[in-house]
Amino acid sequence: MNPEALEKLFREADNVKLDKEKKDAIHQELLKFIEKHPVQPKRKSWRNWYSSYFGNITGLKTPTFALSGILLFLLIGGVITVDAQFGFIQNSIAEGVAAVKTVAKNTSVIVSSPALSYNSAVKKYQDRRIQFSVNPMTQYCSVTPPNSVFKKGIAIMLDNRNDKQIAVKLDGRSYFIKPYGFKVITLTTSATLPHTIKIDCHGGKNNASILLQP
Amino acid sequence: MSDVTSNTQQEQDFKNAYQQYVDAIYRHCYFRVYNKDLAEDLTQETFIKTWKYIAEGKEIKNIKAFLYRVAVNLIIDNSRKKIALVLDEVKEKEVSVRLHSMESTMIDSFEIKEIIQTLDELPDKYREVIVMRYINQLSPPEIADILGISTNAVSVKINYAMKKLREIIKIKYHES
Repeated sequence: MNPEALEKLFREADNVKLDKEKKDAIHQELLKFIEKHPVQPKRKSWRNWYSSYFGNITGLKTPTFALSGILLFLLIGGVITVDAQFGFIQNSIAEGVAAVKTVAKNTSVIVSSPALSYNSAVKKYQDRRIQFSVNPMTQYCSVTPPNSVFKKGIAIMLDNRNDKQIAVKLDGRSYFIKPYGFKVITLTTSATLPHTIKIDCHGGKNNASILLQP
Repeated sequence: MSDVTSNTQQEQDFKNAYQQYVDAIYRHCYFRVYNKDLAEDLTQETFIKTWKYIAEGKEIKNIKAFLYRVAVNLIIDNSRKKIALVLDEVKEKEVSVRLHSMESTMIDSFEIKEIIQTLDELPDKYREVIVMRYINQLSPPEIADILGISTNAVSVKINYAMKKLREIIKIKYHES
């Protein structure tokens, strides 16, 4: 056989067809199957739901814009919570690997915020850092500096120098900081300034304080 | 468009697709498994599986490519079930017996027997693209879509397979 005639030979394969009877038999089987299995109504995905409810509100795509705004707020600004007991508002931002995991339980959005390494955080918050160190013998938590003064709205670093997770409370609001981890929080309050924020550490009371000034 | 109208349309499109592609799918299956009955079963299964997919409310953009994809997968599944092993044992017998059981145009078709015997010497992955390209006359982009590989990869496979085929034919006919 001439190899060049190969493609021509393949055309002979066009003669291979289903027998008409068999073709009809399969067709009948299919019709029965179609009858038994009609098309199910399409499930609405969240995208369909979104467009059906919001798609026609405005041509400016306001819902998309609003959602983006909320996400951006959560990424940059963190979550504002109100402490009913003290009327104290803390705007917390989680940074650093250790801190992110702690906060991520409630606000998963924060997980995607850029992680700050410990060294970078120390450098960035060198004069706004509060260290917590627990004596392994006495379990007493030393806070350095014990008394500090910050302006309202400033971000400070809570630095855990222990090999175990510690719980720190600022005006009653708890922060769990992982071993050798840190957390950055922004201090703000609705209370009249100056306001003293009491810090409890590792089960202790009034281990330190922050004087918040206007 | 209401759901009912849409469903009827889908059903009609599928029936049209059956009439349009049933022979091509059968041909593809036949030249992969060399067994008339098995090729018929695989063809039927291909269309049933496709309808199941449609019935689940899923969208098919290219029904032709989808049918081939389902057929290709069924053939792979089938060969995994070791049915091919059984066929290997009776292949020689199968070819002659099956060919004579086909349509009148096929009876005594020396060419078809030649195609089968020649293709049979190719590794399966090359036979697959050759069948698609030269027997089913699918374009390389269509084959790429079915196999989930790039058009370049398809072209490379086809070129290699053709080279192999020519070598096989050369050896076969020089020897005889």
